[in-house]
Amino acid sequence: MRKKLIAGLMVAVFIGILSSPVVPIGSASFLHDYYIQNFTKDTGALNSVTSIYLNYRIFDTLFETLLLLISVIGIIYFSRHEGDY
Amino acid sequence: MEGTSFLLKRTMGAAYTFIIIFGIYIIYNGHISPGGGFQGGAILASVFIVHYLITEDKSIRFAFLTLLEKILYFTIVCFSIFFVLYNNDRLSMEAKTMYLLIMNILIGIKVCCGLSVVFFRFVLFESR
Amino acid sequence: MLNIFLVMTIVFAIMAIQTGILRHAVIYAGIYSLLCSFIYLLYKAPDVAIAEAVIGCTLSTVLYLVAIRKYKVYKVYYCYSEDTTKKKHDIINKTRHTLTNFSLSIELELDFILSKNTAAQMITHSSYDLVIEQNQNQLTIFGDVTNYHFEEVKRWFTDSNLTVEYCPLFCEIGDDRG
Repeated sequence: MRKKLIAGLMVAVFIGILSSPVVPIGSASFLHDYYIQNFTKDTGALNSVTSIYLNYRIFDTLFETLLLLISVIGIIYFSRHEGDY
Repeated sequence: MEGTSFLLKRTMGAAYTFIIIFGIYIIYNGHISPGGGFQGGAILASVFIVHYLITEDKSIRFAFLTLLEKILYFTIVCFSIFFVLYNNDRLSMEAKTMYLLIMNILIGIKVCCGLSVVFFRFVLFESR
Repeated sequence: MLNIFLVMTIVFAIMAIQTGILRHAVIYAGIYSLLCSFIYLLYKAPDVAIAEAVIGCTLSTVLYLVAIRKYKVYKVYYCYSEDTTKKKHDIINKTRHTLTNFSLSIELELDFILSKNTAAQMITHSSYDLVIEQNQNQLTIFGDVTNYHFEEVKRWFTDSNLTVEYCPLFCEIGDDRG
């Protein structure tokens, strides 16, 4: 009964997401244009990907590196060992 | 690894230096050309894998690599938050570029440590 | 150009799923991610292409291959004399086919090695699970009796119409392979 309830809820959420209005990309392009025009002046990089990755979206990068660190720690402590970490 | 062929050992031994140079190039030019810390770090981690494939040396210092990774993560967090707090328009272009370069190098070394620890954990510790 | 690569990724993905041999599946998956990285390059995303080429094509392929090597391998040496004719190749292919079916049934990875040494040399100098020697049309199978797959191998070979002679050996006990 509970499984069917959860499944029904998921289907409802899925249908809701599909039917909800989506902001089209065209109207959000001011950010895109801003990055392309100003990234060299703002960050001093010639590669726009690096300027976004390390300057505009730095907190994204921080948590991404945290993700790698946590997966390494998980692998170390869950892998088979004999007391030698 | 035991039983690696002679041909593979020789060619991989010659390819060592080129892989290291390529990885350092990718990291160092991360803010100019495509690439960056993560990609360069992964390339540097593949050096450790080549080392495992062609020799039987199993003396990897896990404790040191893990500690180094944790310290580097702490440094990355502190450094980037410090930069974000003090970032304004009056900062010179060289300082901003220097920040990108230092962050790329730190992330590169961190990813290299992390991936090689993952690989050697799987290879040396599982199924023994 | 892009369409060719896209079609080839689908082909290699299906091949990686459909093949019965694990090692081939790993190689097909590696080729698949190499093609993916080319596609990223054609979509003008060189950063992602570098990351995909390094992680997907190199690191994960090597990791999978090492894992398969560490896991369960059924190592078979096939010793034959120099003068191979057409008929002998038929026998080799038939033997390989039988052993492949056998190893698929017990979920082991077959490592079939052709060798020109004599069987006695292989037995004393190598680590093996099975040594097969070919004399004219006669096959002789040397195997460790303590290895419990030996009886299974016998049953598979009686189903195929090969003339086989069995030669059980008593090797060191405590062999944990396979």
